[in-house]
Amino acid sequence: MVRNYIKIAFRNFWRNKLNSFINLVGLSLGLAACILITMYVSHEKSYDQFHTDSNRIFNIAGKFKMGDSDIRMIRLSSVVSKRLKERDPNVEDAFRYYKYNDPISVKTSKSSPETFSEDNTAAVDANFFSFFSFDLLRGDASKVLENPFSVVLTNETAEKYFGTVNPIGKQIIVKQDSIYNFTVTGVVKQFPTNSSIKADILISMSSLPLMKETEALFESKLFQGGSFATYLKLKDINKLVSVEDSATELGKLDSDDSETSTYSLAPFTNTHSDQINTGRFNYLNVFPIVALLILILALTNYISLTTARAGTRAKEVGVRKISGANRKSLALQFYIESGVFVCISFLLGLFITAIFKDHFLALLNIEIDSSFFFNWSFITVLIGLLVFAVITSGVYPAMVLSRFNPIKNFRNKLGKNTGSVTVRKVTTTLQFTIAVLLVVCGVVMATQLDFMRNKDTGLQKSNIIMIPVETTINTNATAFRNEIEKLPEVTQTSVATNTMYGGYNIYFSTKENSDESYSVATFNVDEHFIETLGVSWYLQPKERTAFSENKKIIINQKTISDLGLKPDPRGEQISFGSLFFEIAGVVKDFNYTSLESPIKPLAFFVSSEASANKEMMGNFSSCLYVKYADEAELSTLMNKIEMVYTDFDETTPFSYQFMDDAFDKLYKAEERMSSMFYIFMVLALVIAGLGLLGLVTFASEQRVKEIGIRKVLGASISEIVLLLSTDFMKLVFLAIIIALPIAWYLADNWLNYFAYRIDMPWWSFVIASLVAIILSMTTVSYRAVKAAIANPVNSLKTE
Amino acid sequence: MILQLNNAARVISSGGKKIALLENIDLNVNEGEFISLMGPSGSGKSTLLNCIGMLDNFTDGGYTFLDEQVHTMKEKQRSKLYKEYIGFVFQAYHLIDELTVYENIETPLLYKNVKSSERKALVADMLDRFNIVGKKDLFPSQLSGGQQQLVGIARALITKPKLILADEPTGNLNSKQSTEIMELFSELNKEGVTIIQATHSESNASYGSRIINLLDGSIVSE
Repeated sequence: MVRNYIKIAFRNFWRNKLNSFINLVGLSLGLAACILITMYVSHEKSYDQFHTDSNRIFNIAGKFKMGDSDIRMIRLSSVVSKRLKERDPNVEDAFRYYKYNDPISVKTSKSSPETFSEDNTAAVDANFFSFFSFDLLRGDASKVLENPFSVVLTNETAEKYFGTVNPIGKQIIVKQDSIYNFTVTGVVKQFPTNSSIKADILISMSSLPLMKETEALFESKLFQGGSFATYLKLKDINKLVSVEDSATELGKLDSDDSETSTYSLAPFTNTHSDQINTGRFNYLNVFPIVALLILILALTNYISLTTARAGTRAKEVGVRKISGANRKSLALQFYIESGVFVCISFLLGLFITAIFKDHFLALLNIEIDSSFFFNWSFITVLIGLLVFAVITSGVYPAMVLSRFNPIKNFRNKLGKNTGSVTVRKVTTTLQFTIAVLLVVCGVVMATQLDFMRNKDTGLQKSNIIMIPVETTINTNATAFRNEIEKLPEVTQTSVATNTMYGGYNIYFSTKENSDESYSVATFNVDEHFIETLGVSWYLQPKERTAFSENKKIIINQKTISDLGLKPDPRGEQISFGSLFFEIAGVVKDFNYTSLESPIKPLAFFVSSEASANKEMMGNFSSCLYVKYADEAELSTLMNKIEMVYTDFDETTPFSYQFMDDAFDKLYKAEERMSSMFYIFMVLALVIAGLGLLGLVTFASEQRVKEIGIRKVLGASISEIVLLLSTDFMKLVFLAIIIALPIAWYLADNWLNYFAYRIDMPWWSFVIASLVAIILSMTTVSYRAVKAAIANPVNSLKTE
Repeated sequence: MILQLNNAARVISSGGKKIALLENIDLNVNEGEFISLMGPSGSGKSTLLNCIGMLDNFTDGGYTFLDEQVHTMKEKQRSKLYKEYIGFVFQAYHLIDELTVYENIETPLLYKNVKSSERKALVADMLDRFNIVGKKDLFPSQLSGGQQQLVGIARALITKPKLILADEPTGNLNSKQSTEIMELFSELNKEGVTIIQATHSESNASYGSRIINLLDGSIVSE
């Protein structure tokens, strides 16, 4: 019996090739989009879930109040893990993780000509492999990280260094300020893409106190903030509060301040989502909604097109009923038919997914292990999607088609009961509503993105190259800078400790005679910085020697209003930490972070050029800002700069970033979202168009007699086209009317996440409406004209 | 007696008015009869056939089929009854376009859950008997009207019904095809199948053993 149904399903498919094709394409595209999004979202959600004890592992973080803002300490001192484990029996195990901020250089032997710059190095406690569930390919899990100067490499790093030779026991030479020899004790399998802990090189934690660069990290014996991400494994997750209390108590014991820190535990599995969403719009929640909308679009489309052919199936239903079928068996038949169809679409969808997967991932700028696709949780989600699609797509056709009364169907092949027109009108309206919604959102996003990129942020982003300079340049710093300045294309250089948009330090600042403290962002820069970046003065310093060596400081306008300083604060004193500085000048506000956040108080510690070269470059990681002339030939300039650089620093490889690129990169999430929306938008429009085509076909078939009679009575073709079209255009207009307020609400909500936002672009509504109208007009008139020019003799023939 | 109608009527309301499609129908049909219903368009022939076939209901009066009171039955029992004992033949054949000749004839057996081997034998017999073995893999659209109606009759007969209801079975056929079909009917009748046909044609009616004339929903003569 079932075989019979499947056979019929296929024959029906062949008989209506065009219809089936439209249907198949629509559904497969929709499913493919869904699968892609599911893949992305479930990968994001699966972060850190693969550890055996993932639900018992927590991140501990401290929090204290400073002025009006909460300061979070996500890295703690080296003793926190040990002290907490001793103190609270609920803590089964504790673990510390130290990530190197700056690249280290590695050689495999003294004589080796090749130096590797590794920017993903971490120091981990010896219990790394028992605490987490990473795959150790070589070495003894309990011993590999026990001794100082042991190192575990990932298989890829090991292969990079030693090829196929067994790396265990080999030496690697790590050069920081000093040179250290590490022994490879283990090889770990490349970290999964859905792990928030990822490193290429793991060195044993016991090495750090023995290294000059890091010994200071272990100086603090107090329970407080520090440099180590600290993880706890609890025996019983219900004891979470008690562990938090123990930590807070330990913190209190070590604090002489009245203001103490509180400590809290966050599930380890949330690490990733917390990292990407701190205080920002959570795009991960939007994707499933969009996926669901697309799926609804595709499924309603399928339902609409299937029931549109109900008329032709009506006779079959009648015959089957008379031949002994009951409603149940008919419903089953149509269910199987939908099922077969959806399964084919799903396979096709998987195929489309496989083709576009890499493009999609490139667009999102993420990587996903191929093993993830064969992971049970992902497969379960996919099966869930398939089952959902089969069930929903089959319900309506099965219900409607099996209900047909045989005699009525025989009497009039396209009786009024052949699937409700209302349902189909509702689905079409829904489809266009979704399409219009997505178009508006897409346009609004693109506009906001464009606005952020092109807004005057108060400084000149173009023509500036930022070159990170590591301590390995050492005493060559001044010479390096001078050589760069000598290049004809270069107009100016400046040094700062940080790259622009790459972070800043925060100080707590108080006015004279006041206890209230404010957090103020600070930049350590040299005297050319403000000029090089084209920041304008609000109140110029009275003299050029406004340097921090003289206890002077430059602030931005916002600091005046936020701290409540005098309108001309020059000469006023404010403190940073324990030191007081005199305000020498004020710059106009400019954006030094993403435009999502408003401008906050900012202060420049300005050093003279000579002291910047000596103190900042060479002693700390810093950044050289190089401004070049408009007419400079970029590739030759970059070559020249690189040559100069390698002359002065052989160890750290040359890297650079254009400042405008760095700025654009701040909107990576928005940009992804925007490009995704464009894809979805087109998809939604295609599917909605297909759905409308189905509806029009259905309606003109149903009204074929009416059209015939009207023609006999003298109606012209254009009158009939108009007659058929108005009905649908009404639906499209209705959809527009429904979609616009929703779109307004959603888009406005999204825009509110940005401190600098555009006004709602009213023309996005016009564009969306026009797109919907033009699309539907084309679809409708194509079909309507076909119906209108049909010969009435054929349509009016009975039986 | 295969069925008995006792003052049966079918009244429907249309636009607030009651319209009697059938009234005062008294009819006894014995097993092995071949009855022709005659009358002009709209006289109620098809309605009467549909009601006898239990696809439609009488709204009044008694209907006894094989000693069972049909008018008191629930929909489910009724459909069970007609599926068991009644075969239908239509003017427009009503074959399923997506199925081959073989599969069309087989369909009622599928719904009766007849075993595969038995189905094969039964369908093969039927194809043999109607001389359409060579056409078994063709689709309805590849057959002539007469051939399609043959398939329609074969399908009606496959479940071995006691009663065949035929609504203008030759209405879409030319005279040569009509004669063939009517001869087939009288042959079946001789084998013991009870047949009730609705027809416009005097010559077709004459194949029957009994002619009933309908006019405006009532029996006017026998």
